[in-house]
Amino acid sequence: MATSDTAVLDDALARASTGDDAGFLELWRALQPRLLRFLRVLGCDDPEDVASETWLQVVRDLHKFSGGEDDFRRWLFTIGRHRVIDAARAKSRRPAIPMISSLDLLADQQLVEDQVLDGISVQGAVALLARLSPDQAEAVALRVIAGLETPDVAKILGKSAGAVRVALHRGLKSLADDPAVRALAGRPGPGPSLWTLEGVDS
Amino acid sequence: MNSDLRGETGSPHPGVDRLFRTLTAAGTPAELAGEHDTLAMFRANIHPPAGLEAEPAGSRRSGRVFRLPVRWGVRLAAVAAAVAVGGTAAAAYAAVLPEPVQHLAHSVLGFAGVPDRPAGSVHGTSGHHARSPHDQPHPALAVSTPATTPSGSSATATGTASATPGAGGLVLSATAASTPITAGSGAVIDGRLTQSGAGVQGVTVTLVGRLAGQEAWRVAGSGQTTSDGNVAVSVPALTANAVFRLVVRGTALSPSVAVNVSPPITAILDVSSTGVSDLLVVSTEYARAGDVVVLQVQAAGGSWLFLRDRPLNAGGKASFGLSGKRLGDRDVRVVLLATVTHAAAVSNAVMVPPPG
Repeated sequence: MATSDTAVLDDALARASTGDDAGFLELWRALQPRLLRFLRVLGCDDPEDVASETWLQVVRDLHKFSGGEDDFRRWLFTIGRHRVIDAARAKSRRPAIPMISSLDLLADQQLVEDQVLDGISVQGAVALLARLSPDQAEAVALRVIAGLETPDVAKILGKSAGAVRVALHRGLKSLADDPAVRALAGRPGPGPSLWTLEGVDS
Repeated sequence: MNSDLRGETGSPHPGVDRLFRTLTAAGTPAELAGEHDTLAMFRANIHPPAGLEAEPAGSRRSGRVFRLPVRWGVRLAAVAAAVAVGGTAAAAYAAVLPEPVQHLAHSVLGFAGVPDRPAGSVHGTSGHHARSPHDQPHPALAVSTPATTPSGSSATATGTASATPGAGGLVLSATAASTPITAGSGAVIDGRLTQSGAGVQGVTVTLVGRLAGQEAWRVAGSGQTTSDGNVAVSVPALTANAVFRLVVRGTALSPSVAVNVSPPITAILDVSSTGVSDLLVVSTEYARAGDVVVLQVQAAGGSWLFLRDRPLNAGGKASFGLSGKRLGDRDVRVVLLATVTHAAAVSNAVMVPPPG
């Protein structure tokens, strides 16, 4: 999250921990969309339901939580990931990453029911990320959507930071090579690039 | 955001850039659709005070049992008694309490605007309904309102209500003059009785209140409408959250208004002579043992960060050991978490002196 967001959410977090509705809603509004996107990338069948369970656990344990907005984010996404694993176990199967094969997806009206940014809907973007291998998709999702630092991603995934860097690197390379992602480059979109050309060493 | 990701992933790709910008964009309406349910979940589950956690697991689903301090019952009973002795219309309401006020409106006040009970049970709206023997006070009420009125003064009360021009078109509004208020101070509920938009004068309006966690509505006071239909009824020394409604017998029932109380809370720093650990002593009034206080420290940006929490002891106090080495020159404060019976409260800020 950007620094200004972090300060605002630190305050919202402190207020939420006092039982303040408005503070909690501020946190929820900022993080629920990211949580849903993360759950979808993991192939969660019912992301809304799993997100609700995640927030319920957060609220119940909020009085035991201490830390800032970044710690909270790490906590939230860790719980969310556990809930996905639990849900998958309950169905006696591993979390399945949905295979999206058609580029038409991005233009599919049903999927583009929400707002379209930079020529791609949120759901389309999630679907593109979900096309990576499960390891890469999860690493990139935690790094980008959850906004966690690489060592934190490594802890959540139970891997070394080096292994996570490799997964991130390969995931990003796969995305960059994906024709559907390449096609996005040609679409009109506002704003300067966040990602500039630099060395790919990791 | 993600300052080192660029180095790690080296994405030079505008397509990837777009993708990530979309993945981190603000929430869509669809993604935020569950806000209402989430808020309800938050209110139902946030931080049960330590004193309430020892309940049997089976009672969780049916809602927590919130015990109210004894002083509440006593205080309200005293109010009801005072009203009854005054012989005003309120006495009649005291006699039928603690019925839920909606029920009250139908079966006793004859209010015709609430589709809550079968029509057969609704009494006439004339206001002259004579009390039958089975309209006597509920046995449970005798405990809390010892000065329940005899039937004679009930008749007086009905007479007062009959001054209103029937049930047709009368609208009673209610608002809290302010909320939250400091616990232990008085609350004022303002109302206005109107007919076709014009204020109705000289009508006795009764204020009924229900304390947090209680089912029963009790009389909290009464007042007469002024020439423009306004009425203000005050409640002395409210020390727990409550919901109020204004009632004109047989005629009008206001929506409910909530008044929350914020317990006084002070933090005093007892600076250690040895400099090892200062003690921040927190004192509250009208909070309960087990209610949780949270120690916060002010961050450089001005926001307050969680440090620790602790339940209040039986005396409504709690203390936190503070390290001058760690917190020196920083402001700390204590927040009393909201419970069902009171709103949250924030103490004064205290600067922790540096060690030595």
